[in-house]
Amino acid sequence: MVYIDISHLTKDYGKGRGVFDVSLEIEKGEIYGFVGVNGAGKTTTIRHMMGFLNPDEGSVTINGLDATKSSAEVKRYVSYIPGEINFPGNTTGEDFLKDQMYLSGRGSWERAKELSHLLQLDVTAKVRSMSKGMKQKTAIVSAFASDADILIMDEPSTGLDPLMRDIFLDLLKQEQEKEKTIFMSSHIFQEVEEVCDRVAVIREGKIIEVTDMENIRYNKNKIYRMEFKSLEEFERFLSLSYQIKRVKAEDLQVFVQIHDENINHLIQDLKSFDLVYFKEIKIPFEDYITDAFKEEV
Amino acid sequence: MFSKPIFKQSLKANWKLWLIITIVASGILSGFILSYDAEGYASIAAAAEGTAFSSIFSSMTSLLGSLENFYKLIAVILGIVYVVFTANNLVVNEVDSGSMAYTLSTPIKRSSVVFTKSLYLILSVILMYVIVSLAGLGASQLQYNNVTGYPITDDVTAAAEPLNQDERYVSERLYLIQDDEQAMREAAAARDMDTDAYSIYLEDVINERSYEEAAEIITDERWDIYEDDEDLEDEEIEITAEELTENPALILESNDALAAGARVQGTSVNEYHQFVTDEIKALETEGESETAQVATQENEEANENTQPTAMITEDNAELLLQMMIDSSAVALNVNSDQVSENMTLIKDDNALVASMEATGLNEEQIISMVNHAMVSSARSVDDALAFDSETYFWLSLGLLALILAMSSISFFASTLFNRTGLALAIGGGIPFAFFLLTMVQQLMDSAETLEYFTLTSLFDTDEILASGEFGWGLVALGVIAFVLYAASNVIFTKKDLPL
Repeated sequence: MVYIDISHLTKDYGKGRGVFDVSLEIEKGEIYGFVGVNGAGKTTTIRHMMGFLNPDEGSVTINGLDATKSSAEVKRYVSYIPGEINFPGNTTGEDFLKDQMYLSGRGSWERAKELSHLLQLDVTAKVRSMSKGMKQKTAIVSAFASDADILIMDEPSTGLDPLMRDIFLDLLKQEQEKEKTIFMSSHIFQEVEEVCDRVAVIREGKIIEVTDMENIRYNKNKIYRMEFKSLEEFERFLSLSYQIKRVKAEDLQVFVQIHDENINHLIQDLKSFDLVYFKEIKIPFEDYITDAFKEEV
Repeated sequence: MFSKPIFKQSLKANWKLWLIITIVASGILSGFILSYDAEGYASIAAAAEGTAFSSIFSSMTSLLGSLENFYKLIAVILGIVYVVFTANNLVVNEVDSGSMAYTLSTPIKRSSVVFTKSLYLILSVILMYVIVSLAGLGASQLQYNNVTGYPITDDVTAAAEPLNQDERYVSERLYLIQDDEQAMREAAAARDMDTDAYSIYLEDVINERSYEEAAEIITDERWDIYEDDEDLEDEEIEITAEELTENPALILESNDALAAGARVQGTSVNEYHQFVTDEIKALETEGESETAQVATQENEEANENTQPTAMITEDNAELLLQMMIDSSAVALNVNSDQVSENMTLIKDDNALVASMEATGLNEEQIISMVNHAMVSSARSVDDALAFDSETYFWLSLGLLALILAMSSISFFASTLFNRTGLALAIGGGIPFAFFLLTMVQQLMDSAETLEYFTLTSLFDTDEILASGEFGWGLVALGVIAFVLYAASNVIFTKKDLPL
């Protein structure tokens, strides 16, 4: 079931800035990553989902409601973490969290306390004197304690230290178990790779790739790295008809890309060679995307 | 449309500035009223009459007139400070900092957010100026007792003690002073008059008040009769004390009016009836004697050489009075300012002789002139202290309309722009420019063309003080406020927000 439907969304700010013909379909219950460099159009897309911007063309539909026209109605299901966080007034974190629950008419203070404990957040601090990381934690607590069906988050992990980022990613997985739909943007490929079910890549306002992370995690095309004992062995291997990704001649190393179907063939061949070592090389999502970028350019 | 949580949030974020400005404005207005020097301004205005400064001082000769600077400048700049900062804080500041994202990520409609915020600004401005106006009212009442009753002047205060009565009680029953010799003496001294002049003054005041009270009753009665009569204008239905002075017979037609007039004089209705009848007769003979006087005057002109007596006419009265003051000063060996401050000195024997020589008038004429001068200056002090509730109401309402119009400009800028700096420059700059133009205009009389460039001209304090035509200006201010607030609501509901 398509829960969030972004269809041919276009917002032209001139000089090539904006988003152009962006179409995405986010299923209920999935964690959807939205990746791109700074200025690629991530925030603009998210602002349309929140109904803050009016599209030039196209539309965003959330749970069957137009995100622009029925913006307030949509907020019954949605909780939001803005890209740049500033809280209204100069209250304490606790007051802000409670005010926000009062304004939105949902959420639980018990859950908020639990979350702050988990994230080691001091809610008695004044929101104006909070550091970037504390603000980010407060925003995360507010979004997760709201018990909304959909979480829309603009770079939610910025300002968190690596330990907190891991806790945050764990929280995302917990939310997914509760059948929450999560849409998050990021410029850190590693974290979307870790938690997301699907990832859309945006570049200069256009979607260039939508990847099912299953395909990357369980990629059947693998790369193996091997080092040979002698130069003759090394050259003999190169003469075979394998797809060679890379050669490091000075170390007598070869990188071979091969599909799982042909792995037995390779192993059979290698029996006749004198090897130093043989290992599989993981392809990070980032490289995968970089490859995609290169193809595009 | 209205969102209680948003209203509470706005209140929490903005009440401090509201409180400060309200206290400051109330304090300044009360200060202006408490420090008003009726006698001082009355004498300055009299001195400046006919000179280039007369227009400046003429507005100071009444308590409300002296507040013109407060209404034109001080209250306006305080109001501008409040509305500019609050309008900015309510909308654009939240958009620029990004905190509006939190408000708008709740199921509260954008239209209710902006509607509630505009309502907050409007209501807070209204409440502020209601409180300021009430503070002014309170200050005037405490100091002069002139809002709910007759002003308590120095003579009333002085007479209250020998009469063993409350000041306010005496101020409503001036005839008590007339009946008590010691009270008369002390009251007269308090007003720098001798008892002769003071008794003329007191009678004058009492008679006028009895007409005022009667006029009010007659007007009420006429309202009941003619209210639905569309041919009659409000002004035609209303009967003023001046109209009664010219035609006292109207009082005789109403028993209630007679009773009201009698109460002021402390007499029975029958006695008051007699008094009014006498007045009517006096008016008739006055009309006759006027014609007679013209005749004698002609006669006298013919016999000018045989009877060389100086004549008092309207034109030379002032000159004659000045001559008396000067010659008395010389005779008594004092400064002429001292004499003009306390004209009873002229009644001194030596001074009288000197004055008679200088002016050629006889003793009787001089004494009557001095009495007349003292009474009229005392009356102008009384007039200065009178509190015209209607004028005060229009001044307060006009100020409120002006500040609401200013607030609509700031609020409009606050909703139109996404950057605080730009919103402050436009939404604060325009009202402040209006204020500066008004200030220049107040300082330089010649800069009249400026009035077409500032919104403050629509709040015409001069016209309000003169009970002239000012209504359309206030309506225009209201229309401006309404249009800009409505436009702000539409714009903010529709526009792109960078959140």
